Amino acid sequence: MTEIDLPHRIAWGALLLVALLAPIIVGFDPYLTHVGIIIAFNVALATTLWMIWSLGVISFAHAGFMGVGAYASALVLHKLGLSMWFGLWIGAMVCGALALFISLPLMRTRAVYFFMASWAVGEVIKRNFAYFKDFFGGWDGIFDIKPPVLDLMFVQIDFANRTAYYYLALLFVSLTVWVVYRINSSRTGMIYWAIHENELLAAHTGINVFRHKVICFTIACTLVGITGALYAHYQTYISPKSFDIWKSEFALVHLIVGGLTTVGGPVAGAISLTIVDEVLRASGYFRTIFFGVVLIASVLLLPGGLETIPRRIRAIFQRDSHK
Amino acid sequence: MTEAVLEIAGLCKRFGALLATDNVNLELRAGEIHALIGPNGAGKTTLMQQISGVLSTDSGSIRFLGRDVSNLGVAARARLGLGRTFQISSVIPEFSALRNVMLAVQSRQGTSMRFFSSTRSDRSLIEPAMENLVRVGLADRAATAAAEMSHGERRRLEIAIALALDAKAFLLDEPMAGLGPEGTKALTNLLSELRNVAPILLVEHDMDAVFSLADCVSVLMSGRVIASGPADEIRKDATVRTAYLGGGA
Repeated sequence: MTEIDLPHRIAWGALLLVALLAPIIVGFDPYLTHVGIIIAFNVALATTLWMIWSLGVISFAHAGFMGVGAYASALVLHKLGLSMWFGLWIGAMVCGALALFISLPLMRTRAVYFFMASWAVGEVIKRNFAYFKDFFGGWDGIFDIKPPVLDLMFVQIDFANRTAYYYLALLFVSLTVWVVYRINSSRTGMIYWAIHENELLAAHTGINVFRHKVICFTIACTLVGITGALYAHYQTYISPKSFDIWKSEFALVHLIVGGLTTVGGPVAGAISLTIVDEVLRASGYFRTIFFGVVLIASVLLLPGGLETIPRRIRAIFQRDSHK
Repeated sequence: MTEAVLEIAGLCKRFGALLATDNVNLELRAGEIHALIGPNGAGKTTLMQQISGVLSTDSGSIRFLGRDVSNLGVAARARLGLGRTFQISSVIPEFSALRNVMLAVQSRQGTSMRFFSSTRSDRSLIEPAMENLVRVGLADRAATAAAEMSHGERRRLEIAIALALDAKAFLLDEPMAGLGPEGTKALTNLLSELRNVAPILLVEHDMDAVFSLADCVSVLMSGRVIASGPADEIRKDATVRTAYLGGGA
């Protein structure tokens, strides 16, 4: 198995290196740095959604939970006057607690019922932000969510600076991907995939299916809550519409185009499609149509997603060597 | 006689007007193979599902290792050591043979301390899993996906899983179904060794296999046990012959 591990490590290392050097490569261009930050958020959203997928279900409440983290952190800043360094963790905890509570009934549903129930949860979260105007700001949302300042002894890093924020986002997204990757390759991940394939069989090997589902969902939502907080303090403005069902659906598209069987799938899907989306932005009105064409083309031409590309290349070389 | 590992008393299950199991009493003792035979629809699979916890029980009790497990779920019973194989197949097709067994091994060991470490280099997981594959003669197929294995191999893999779960009793639902003569012979040999690991409750239609393996046979008809006893007696029993073994044969 080590001969598979090595190329994987090289690929992840190369990706991280490119990500680290990206602002220098683009010459600190503000727009391209912004795209980099959006890519980071989308990678975190898709990767944590993929973690839930390892149980065999897709949660349409995922963007909603990202919103919970975002609103919690924004409110910690505005009502308590505490910076994102506190809001981030409080947001994650609120998100985790809510996910734990909701998953108790939610994880008793299966397949299509889960999709519908999770869709409803996402919608209810969004509507609550809109309904409680005094607290959440209604449809107008919350403005002026200041980015944090890191005050070290000698240096002060103001994250209003885009390049600084890029590295902050990169740090947290890398940690998120790493956590998901490690869990997935551990015994816990093996259990998740067993549940994914067949719940009853998993139970017959002594696995407490329900408990693992609840824990998995809670961890994934906690991680996306952190992403939500980072999102809020970057955009400095959030509204219920920032976290609607479309955001979950775009994350799902990232998964499908990237691939569903390894953590490389959502990462590759989120990076490539965010770039495609930005390129298409110039086409204005036709953007969504082009996006749809890209989606259909990738499903037809590359079944299994971007994650299958290394395997396909290897297969071509092996075929040649047999000639 | 040794003590009963599994004791079933007055077990009933009703589906609407149909009594699928009707006041079933059964004992499985250490070291024995207890065969459960009967025509299609006699309630054999229902009974197996009640014992493993897939189906709830309307009345009666199931005692396993001296403990009442009637109200426990499937996973809890499996952790106590009730190992079951299915009528269809109880392996995860997308997993390799080794990974299928590893899943069972980790279920015995628990995840608590290894929440975060990779399974690929986890020797405490791979080695016991491999040992069990060797025991059922599948060592050279460890890396093969279960989906690509032959029917007979999958049956043996199921038994490796049950072994890895450290089963205190095996519930085997038609393990011979769909096997050729060679496969049946190999599995018969394996099962006769397996009884020394843990007793087996065996549902099987292959009468040659049943009477060459079983120490004890119970005959189920319309949800009722109509006869139960040592294999030789059951073979001679007149009511059983008319009911099941083919009339005047």
